[in-house]
Amino acid sequence: MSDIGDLIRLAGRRPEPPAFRAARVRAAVEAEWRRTLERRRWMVWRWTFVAAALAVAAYWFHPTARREAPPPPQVATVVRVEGSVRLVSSPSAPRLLTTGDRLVAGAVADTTAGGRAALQLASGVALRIKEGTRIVVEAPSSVRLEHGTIYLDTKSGASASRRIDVRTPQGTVYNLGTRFEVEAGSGAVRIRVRNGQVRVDRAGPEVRVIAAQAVTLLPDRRVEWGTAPPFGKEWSWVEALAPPFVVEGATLESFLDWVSGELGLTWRYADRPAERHGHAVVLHGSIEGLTPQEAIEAVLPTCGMSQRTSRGELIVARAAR
Amino acid sequence: MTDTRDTDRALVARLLSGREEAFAEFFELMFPRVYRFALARLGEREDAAEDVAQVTLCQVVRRLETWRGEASLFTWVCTICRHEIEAWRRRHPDEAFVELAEDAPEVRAALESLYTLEPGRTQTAVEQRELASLVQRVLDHLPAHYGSVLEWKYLDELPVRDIATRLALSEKAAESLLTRARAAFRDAVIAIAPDLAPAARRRGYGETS
Repeated sequence: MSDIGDLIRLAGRRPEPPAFRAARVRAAVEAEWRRTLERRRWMVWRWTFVAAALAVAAYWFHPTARREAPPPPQVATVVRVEGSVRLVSSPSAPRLLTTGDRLVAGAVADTTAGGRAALQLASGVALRIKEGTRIVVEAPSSVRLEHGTIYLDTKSGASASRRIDVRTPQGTVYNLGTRFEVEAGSGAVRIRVRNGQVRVDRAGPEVRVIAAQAVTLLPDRRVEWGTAPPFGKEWSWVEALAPPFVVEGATLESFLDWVSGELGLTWRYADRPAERHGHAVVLHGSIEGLTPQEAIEAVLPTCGMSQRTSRGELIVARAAR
Repeated sequence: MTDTRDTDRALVARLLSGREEAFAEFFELMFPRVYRFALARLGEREDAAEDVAQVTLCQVVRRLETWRGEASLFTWVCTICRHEIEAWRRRHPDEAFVELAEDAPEVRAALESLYTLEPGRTQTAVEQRELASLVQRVLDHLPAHYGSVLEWKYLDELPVRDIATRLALSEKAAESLLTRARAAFRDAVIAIAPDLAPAARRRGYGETS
């Protein structure tokens, strides 16, 4: 054996733990880390209260808390499936996903057979998976994209954006805003931001992508910039997987918030009379099976209103009599 | 030159302040090594290694504030992992016991034999596996990134320029890191098998890219 290089070559590459095991452990450890941070903040806040501190210490040193590994937490619920989507959490037990399935940490969803799906992560983030994609849901706020295309809406049904990170072969994408798409293939990763912004941590300078921008991260570390209008045909796969909106009892304005978000538009009333009328409308019925575009075309006429789009704006007016 | 413990301290400080990227870095750095550490001591039982690695890392994140930086972070993690392996063995008394390879006299002998092999001598498959396993564990015990850098250099045959890009370092800093990694590897081998000191110094140290 001649030198260090020979020794290392003889040993070969160190084996990596299986991805599904790494994902399960990561989810559990990350959850424990967050609980610990919360406990730490709480302890600092209450430090002067001796009784509370003793209670924390009792929990800290409790034998069962130390010895038992928490079971893998549920991280997502399947809200929509089109075609065949396989769940490959363990190599020995692949099966097809169906609406309502609950996924645990480490679940691998595979749409390479031609299907697509929408998931609701336990963190509140909406995740849509295009055809030809394979992802690992590692935690409620962490997804690993092996290849294919996913779309994330971190403000789905909420007033504030939620945290998510997407691990890709070219770095980790952190959301600083609300809606974006990540596509991985042939060693490159493309990111399109619909609104808000994302940050990418990778070797080399940090990359930030803002709304209406697209960036491609190439395997040789080069970065190519482009534009990505937040609306249009390129987003049609995302709109087709929109989670169902319950119209019955909803206000017209909440419906307009949902539909404009799905179409990548902002919305406004055309004038004061339209606003006064629209403000009072409560909807009834169902839009099940309709895309957001089909839904708005179906709903507004029943409210005596009409709509048009101009430069990324959805303008809602009173219908002509 | 940044000391490994300074790097560890900085990582722990970022973890304690709740930085998301610090958790990702910590997990990617520690989990594969802890998993392999446990796997080797639990008779290659993957489920057991996963459980032990999970409990160990949960313990570590709970007790991060108690790490004083007297040993490297990975050494401290291994200490906790050893306790968890013992606890696992107590809960599974019927399972076969695996002696810690690094402490076994025959491992020293195996490593020494690696350096005394005649050129052209064919090793048995068992010898190859034992030596490979030992070298891999030595790589796991090196400070952060050292093991990866050596694998990139000797297995992937990456030039220093590419290693620098991967680690977001200058070429000079990457070259320096590689030199330190070689030295640390050599020192680790010598620590396990002191009789190898002359050969390791002569053959491995001061190598250039």
